[in-house]
Amino acid sequence: MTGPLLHLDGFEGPLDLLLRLLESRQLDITEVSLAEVTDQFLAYLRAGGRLDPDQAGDFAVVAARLLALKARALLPEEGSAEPETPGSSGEGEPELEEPPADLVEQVSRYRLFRDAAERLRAWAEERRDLIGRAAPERLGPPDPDDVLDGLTLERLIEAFRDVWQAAATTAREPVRVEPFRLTVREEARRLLALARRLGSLPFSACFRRGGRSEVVVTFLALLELVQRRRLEAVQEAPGAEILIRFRPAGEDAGEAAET
Amino acid sequence: MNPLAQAVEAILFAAARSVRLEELTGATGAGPAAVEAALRELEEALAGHGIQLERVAGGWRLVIRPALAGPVRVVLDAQPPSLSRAALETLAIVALRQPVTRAQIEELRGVHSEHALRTLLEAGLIEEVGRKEAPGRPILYGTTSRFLEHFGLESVEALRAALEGEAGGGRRQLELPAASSNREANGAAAG
Repeated sequence: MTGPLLHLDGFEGPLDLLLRLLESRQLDITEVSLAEVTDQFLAYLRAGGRLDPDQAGDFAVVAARLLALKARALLPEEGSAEPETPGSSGEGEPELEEPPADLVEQVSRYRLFRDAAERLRAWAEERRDLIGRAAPERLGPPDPDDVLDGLTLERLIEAFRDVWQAAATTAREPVRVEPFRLTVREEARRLLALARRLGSLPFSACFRRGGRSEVVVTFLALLELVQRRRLEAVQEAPGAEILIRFRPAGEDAGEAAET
Repeated sequence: MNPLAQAVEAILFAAARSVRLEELTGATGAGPAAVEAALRELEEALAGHGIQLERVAGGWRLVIRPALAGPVRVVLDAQPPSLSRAALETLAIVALRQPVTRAQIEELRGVHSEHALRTLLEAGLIEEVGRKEAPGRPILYGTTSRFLEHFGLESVEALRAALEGEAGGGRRQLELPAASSNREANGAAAG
């Protein structure tokens, strides 16, 4: 890895970063060290760099995007054991080298605007000394003709009637919002009990039926338990099902949750 | 100067913006040819002055001679306005894709653009031009004539042509005949 990846001072978001990576010929996303990007980010913060919430959010978007790309590049493609997967990529070329086409297109479209922006900046720079008169202050209330451009009272009444009728006909179905009940703590308890009883279980068996949120909660609980060394995850061969194993207490001190 | 050229000068001075030919003919009651002749006369009359005529944004306006910007800024206490990269990118998208919604801008840039939009609105470079007939009726943004003045453009079409016509990245083809001829005239007058 050469040079700083991230220039937070002039940082303009994930597309900007990806474009710079592409332009510096670091086409292979797997070559991008995400740890290094994160380290730079943290170093920037520690050095007293100011960061507004928007910028922090944008960074999270970059990181997530890069992570997704990298994960896609590193993981074996689903069903790669079988030769044909007609849906995805026609030829057997692995897509490890380049980011996916839609992203490339998005980045190149972004490049158009970035270049246009640069051109605008140059034009404004050329013209910075062509100072015109400052606009005179407007005195008094605005001209009603400017505000109500060609509008008559009849048109206003008509417009209000339309809105009124639309409001009257809108059904007033009550909206029910269900609170989400499952917590990571509960899931962790369930998983631990399950693992203790069975000794070990396949990764996929950890999840119960449910929506995305349930899956996420279960996964977070799993990560939590692995981090606290209550469970361990092993994979015996590349592509094989991951096994979740119970670790009896006492194998290590359980206070590893805190750094 | 004849009375028509004087009227044109007065209008441009007081308007403090680019005034279109139709506005000048409408205000003075003179025909287009007469107003154009008056503009030429005004341009010549200003040759030895500190201000000059500039053709921009589909009209004409009065600006100072660039060489005098230094002392002018001292009195005005004004720094040349500079826009952040985020604002410029957002502005470029609005200019080329207008009318455009914030969501469309953000999709193209890949980041939030609310702050940039607000900056541009405050600077008078863009404005709300309507509402999109879509869920939520989002605001549509477009560029203003102040935008054209700021960047020295005749029209949005000219901008598109300039940006698309030279993807190679050369100099723009838009000429500013008034400004350039004045620059020469200025040099002659100074020498």
